[in-house]
Amino acid sequence: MDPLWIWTGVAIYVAVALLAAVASRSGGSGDMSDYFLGGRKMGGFVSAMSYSATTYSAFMMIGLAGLTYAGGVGALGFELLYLCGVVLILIFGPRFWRVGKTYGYVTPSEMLGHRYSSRAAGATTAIASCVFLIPYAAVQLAGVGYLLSGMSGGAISFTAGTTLAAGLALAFALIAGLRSVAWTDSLQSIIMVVSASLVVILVITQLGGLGSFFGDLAAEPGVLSVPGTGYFTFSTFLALTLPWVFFMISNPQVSQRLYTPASMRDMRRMLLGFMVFGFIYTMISVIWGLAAILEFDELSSPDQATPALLSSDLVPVPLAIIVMIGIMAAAVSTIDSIMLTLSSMVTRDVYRPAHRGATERTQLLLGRLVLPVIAGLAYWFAHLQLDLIAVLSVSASAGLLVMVPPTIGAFFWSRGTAAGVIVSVTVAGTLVLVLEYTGYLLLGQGSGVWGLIVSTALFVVVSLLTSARTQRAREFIAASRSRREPVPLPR
Amino acid sequence: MGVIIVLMYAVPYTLLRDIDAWYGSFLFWTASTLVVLGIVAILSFEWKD
Repeated sequence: MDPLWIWTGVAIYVAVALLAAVASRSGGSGDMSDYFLGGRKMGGFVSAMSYSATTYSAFMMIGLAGLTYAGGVGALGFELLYLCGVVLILIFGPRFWRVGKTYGYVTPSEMLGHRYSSRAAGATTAIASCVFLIPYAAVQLAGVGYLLSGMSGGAISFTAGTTLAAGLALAFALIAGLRSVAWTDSLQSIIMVVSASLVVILVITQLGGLGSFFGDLAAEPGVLSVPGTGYFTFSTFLALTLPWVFFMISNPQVSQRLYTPASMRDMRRMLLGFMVFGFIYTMISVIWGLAAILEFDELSSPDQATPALLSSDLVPVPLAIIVMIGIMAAAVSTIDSIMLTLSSMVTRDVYRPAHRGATERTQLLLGRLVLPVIAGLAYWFAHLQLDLIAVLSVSASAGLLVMVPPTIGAFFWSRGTAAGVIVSVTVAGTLVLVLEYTGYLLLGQGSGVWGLIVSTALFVVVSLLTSARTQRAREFIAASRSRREPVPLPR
Repeated sequence: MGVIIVLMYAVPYTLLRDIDAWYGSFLFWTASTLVVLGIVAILSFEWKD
């Protein structure tokens, strides 16, 4: 594809998205809650689009299609199980929202620090989030690099793609915090779902219709079954899916969004919109991957499946450009959300506890200064080009799984203690890092499985061996379950 | 819902492992997900402000 086409498309997207970001600035009050949570007044539609865009990203459109190309239909089961993890919102959605309104939490680690009466517990979970989320953001940057270089036949370099994505994410996060991020997310989601659906219809039509499409796939041994070609052994499937089932409460850039809806009605709209988008996105990405199996015998990397499909004769150039821009925007929308969340955590959970007198203005300034640092670190990781995008994403999510037991304990186990949080997150997090670094499969299971088991065991045992602040726990749990309108309390 | 999610792990690796067609794991995972999402949507209507 002619690079001029691609650059023209990118230029139009940048101009429109920047306009949307700047327009979103109106009405902001300029405090921490406003910048990082949209003032807790986000509407259902924008929340749904933004939540979807944050969750589904370059990983989805590049990585999942690549995973399907490499392993067949198992990729569909993997991603649909993640989507089914949305059931957790029935339990945690209202609880996060109520305690957020009651205690004024800006970050999930701030919530854990307060619930367990320990600034160290809050700081520990915040630092662990940074350790695991920066590689995850890097994966999104790498996605843009692969996409642009793949579609332009190498005329646009991997470095140019990642630089562009990092710069845009930084700009969107800086302009108006969550407001600008959410508005640009919404813009991207709508364009993406329409154009990508059109690609699916066109590709299947050109491959002879749905019957012919699945008939040809059935002729390829193992593509429509698991373990199929051997990629998706049950252990691999379990190791990939487990981190994603808990994604909603393990990933702070996602769980932080549970504080943002203006009302429970808006949270319900967010949920319904997310489920519709998630299902469509998943089917699109998997069908792209399946189409690539039929069209391309030997791609240099499975992650080239989507770029190869979009630059093939099956997709008209203007549509391919729109989808490409949509995927790039999807990556950017995930990166800017992660940057914003990590920035709020560094400011709120690491800096503020050490500087009790820091004003909101100082915290906000520091938050903005931290954003470029996070962007720089993610950029550096992206250039290491470590592994398949999907596998690297899951590695990052596997690490965040260690936060699940303390989060569940916060709402359901008043006996949980700060020592339990600190020990479980530190030890299990380190174990995941070691397993990922060495590539060692303990008893044939992935790092996420062990991270969750060890974190749960340590959280329970250490909590039972130490004394709990049960008064705070009871108040917190009562606030999370209250059916009354949440009333902000001083802390 | 928990049972359906467990079945989403078990069935494709046992009953459907030799069915290389759209009506195998592809259909099972898709239909199971739609059932789970439908239940979630219905239960969320109990949320009150």
